Amino acid sequence: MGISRRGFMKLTGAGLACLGLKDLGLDPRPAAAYATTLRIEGAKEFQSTCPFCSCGCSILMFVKDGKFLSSEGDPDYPVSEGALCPKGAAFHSMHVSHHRILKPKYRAPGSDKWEEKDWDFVLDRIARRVKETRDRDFIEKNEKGQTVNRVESIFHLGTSQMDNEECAVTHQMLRSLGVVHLDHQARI
Amino acid sequence: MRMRFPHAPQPDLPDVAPPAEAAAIAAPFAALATLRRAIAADLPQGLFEVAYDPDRFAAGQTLLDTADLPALVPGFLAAAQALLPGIADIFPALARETTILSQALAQGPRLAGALLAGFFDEATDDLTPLAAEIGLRPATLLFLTRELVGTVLRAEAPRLAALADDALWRKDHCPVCGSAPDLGLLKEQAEPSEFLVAKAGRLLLHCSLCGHLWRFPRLVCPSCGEGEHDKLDLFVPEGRERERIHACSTCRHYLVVTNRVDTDAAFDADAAPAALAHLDAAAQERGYTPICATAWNQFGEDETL
Repeated sequence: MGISRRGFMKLTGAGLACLGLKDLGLDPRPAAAYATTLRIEGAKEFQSTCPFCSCGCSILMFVKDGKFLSSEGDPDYPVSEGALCPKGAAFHSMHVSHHRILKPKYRAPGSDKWEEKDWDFVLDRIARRVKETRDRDFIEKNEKGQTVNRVESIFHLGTSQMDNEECAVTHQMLRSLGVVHLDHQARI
Repeated sequence: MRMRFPHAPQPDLPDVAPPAEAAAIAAPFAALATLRRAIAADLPQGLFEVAYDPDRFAAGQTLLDTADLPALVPGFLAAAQALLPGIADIFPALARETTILSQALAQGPRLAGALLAGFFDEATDDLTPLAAEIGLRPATLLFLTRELVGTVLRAEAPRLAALADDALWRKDHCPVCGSAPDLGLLKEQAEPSEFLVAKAGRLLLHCSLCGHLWRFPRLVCPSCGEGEHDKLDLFVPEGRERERIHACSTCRHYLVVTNRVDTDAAFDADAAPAALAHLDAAAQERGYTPICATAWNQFGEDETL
């Protein structure tokens, strides 16, 4: 006679007639009373993706009351199996760092002070300056008469905080403008 | 210079002893777990063969599924001789009934086969007719049979566990015997690279019957398979952050889980579930039902929280 899994599940599942603590001569009341004194708040774990590189490691984020409290590698992600590089391991630290700039800041030409500005101001300002610079310096052909369609007076500096998608979109935008000077913060 | 990441215990996850209020529950079950292991170590091993087929195993056939029940009888009888008196010592409230079962098994060893059939065979509704025949409460007979079978399987589990490939088995029941889990365990995997941080807790489920540990996805309900993160609740008691309740709002079942990441403190996975009975009480107070009904998570109706 073989062993049936259904039979097993029947015997170990909830709702089965099962001996209780009292049947064993044990008093369940102290543990039950202690449970009522525990301060237990519900939390959630969410799976997300590390934004730092093309590995795209999966990260688990511990969230309580809408607040992101901690993170760790996802042990069920088949590529990294829960391991993270130092940047990925610092995912939560980056999120809550007091160095993190949450609002746009602007330093006027010649000034030595940063001012807080709204997004409308900075986006408009950046767009206007890029357009002015490109209109002024756009090079359609080089000295040999070859079509180059480039702008040499705009430089873009990337960052290791950008994810792959941001890098791709940024690169496409800059190439469409004719910007040829692009580099990455990690090389400086 | 070769850089190494410090491997120090997480300061925010201290090891906290079980609460004194749960000690009266934890202690006898810890003694039972120790006794079971000691008896299992002396039992004859290799009593039955397992027809292991990786394809069938990956499709959900447990290792014990192909075993013949009569092959378990000698181990069952041998375990009964030592375990039943031990249970009587640990749980004096069961002394009379353990004596009755010991005598019944001594007088009629064929009873062992009937008990095993009643325990495993889905065609048999339960052990009620046998219990009436022997003169035991059905729930007591189920408890004692389960402990005896668990002891026999513990003797065989190390041999069978070697076949239970985690890569082929991510199911909600034990790959060795098919039973439900009574505990979850979070433990990191050693990472050989000095450039990586590996402190992610892999979820291991502990079999309520044979004690085998197997991998299971962390963000999936081990009762109904719910994978929506929004529907999986996590409860962590303040000041006892290594203790967790994984609950599912879809099926309303829960599993108690202990976080063993970054700690090498001695840990007995067989005894731990009962030491977390206060979590069972807290989960049931919130309207959840245990995935696996065990004696330590049955608080009685008048103790309904």
